[in-house]
Amino acid sequence: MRSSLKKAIGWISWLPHPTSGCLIALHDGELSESTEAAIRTHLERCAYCRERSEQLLNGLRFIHESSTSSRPPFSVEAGLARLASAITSGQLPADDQPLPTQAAELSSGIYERLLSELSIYLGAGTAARLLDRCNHSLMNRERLSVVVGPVVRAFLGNHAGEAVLLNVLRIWDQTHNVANGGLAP
Amino acid sequence: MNPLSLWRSSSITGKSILSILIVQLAVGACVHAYWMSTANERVLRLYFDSFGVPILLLFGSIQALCAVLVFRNFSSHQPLGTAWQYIMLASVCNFIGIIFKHLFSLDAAINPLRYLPGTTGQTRIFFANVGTVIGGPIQLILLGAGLYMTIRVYRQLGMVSKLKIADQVLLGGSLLYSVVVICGVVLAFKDHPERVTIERALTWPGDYLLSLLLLEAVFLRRAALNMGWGYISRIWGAFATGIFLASFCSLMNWLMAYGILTWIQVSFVWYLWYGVSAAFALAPVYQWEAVRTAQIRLAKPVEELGLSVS
Repeated sequence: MRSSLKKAIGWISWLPHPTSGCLIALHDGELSESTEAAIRTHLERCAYCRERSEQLLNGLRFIHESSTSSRPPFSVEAGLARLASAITSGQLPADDQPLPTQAAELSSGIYERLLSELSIYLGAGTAARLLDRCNHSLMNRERLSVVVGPVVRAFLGNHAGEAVLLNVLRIWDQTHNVANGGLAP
Repeated sequence: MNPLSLWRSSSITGKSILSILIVQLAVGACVHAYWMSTANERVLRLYFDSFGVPILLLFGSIQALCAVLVFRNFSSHQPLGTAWQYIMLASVCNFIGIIFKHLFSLDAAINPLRYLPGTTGQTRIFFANVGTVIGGPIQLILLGAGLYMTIRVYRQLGMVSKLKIADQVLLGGSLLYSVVVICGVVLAFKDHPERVTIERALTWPGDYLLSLLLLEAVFLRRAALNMGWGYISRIWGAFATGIFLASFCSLMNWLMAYGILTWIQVSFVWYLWYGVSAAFALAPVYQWEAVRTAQIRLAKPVEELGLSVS
């Protein structure tokens, strides 16, 4: 009886759940010592908030990396030189070898269509940065969801963010279906 | 999707606000020209009282309604949910301020208080003062809090990049504006304390708060520009535009108070307040349009979404 009561009191003491803002502030080290300690204690006990915190931080990490990553500018001369070097050294794939073009085309097609959809809400700059970040994983539906989901939910709210994410995933599925000749991905 | 097709696909509310603003400004330009040439104030009064006030009420009500709808789309634990809570409260204050300051203080047929017994000139002044406070400092504090939280979210998402030269110039301008406001208030009390009226003094906190909002607007503008053309950038860009315009109008008034400009030279500013009101109304409208667009596009087959494919 006593242990159940203690357990119940303990359960009540986890509430209310810290807000997303608090979780982000905790990550940024912006909270006072007492608040930080209270939230850390809460996180130790509350699996729901631990999961929320992890999701939030994952999303933030992706966005941060995507917005701060710097790419070297593309040089046509350097590209041509590399191509020329490959031609002269005979390193180009032979005609009978399987080319990864189908995968590349599919990835490019998904990229174009998702960029077009996300630009409506996030603008071309942010949409491109988001998709660039998961460019190598555009074939991974889960990864796309993890990268895009937190951003659209943050800016558009739960319902609309969810609608945008569902639409993005629907476009992804449809593009895959078309590429696979109508088969399910 | 390019901005033109985005414009075409957007709902009628945003287009209506812009269309009304353009018509109002065009009519205003004609009325102003007529007033300048004939000095006939009757047309000017008709324009501002009978056409201007309903338009301000319309923009204010759309802003408040859309802000409430947008706020309901966010849950309390979302960072931008708190931001929209403050923006919604600011929008409601703005609407109440418009009713008190522009409608209840009016000595015209559209003022409903005019038909109540016991309504005097003093009553109208009282409502005007209350409206100035609710639609001024209180609204700006709430809006400032909402925009601060938005900038914080942008920063946490790594979307506020380094300020460019143009931003630094704007920051300098906003600091200069706050100096102008502070010096103006100090000089007004020092040189002509007898000329300081309650009506005038009530606008000062708003003017000063506007200078703080200008700082936020610079960061919002940069963040919106970095995002590219989309609903989100239009929302925060509209807020930034409203703040820039309001600050410009306020600065002109201060320059007139300093005696640098005459009131005739500054009179064009009267019309710009419609632009301020439209910009503040457009921000929650765009957010609501984004929400609606997301739902509408989800209901359509993928083939009908008009996605660009190279």
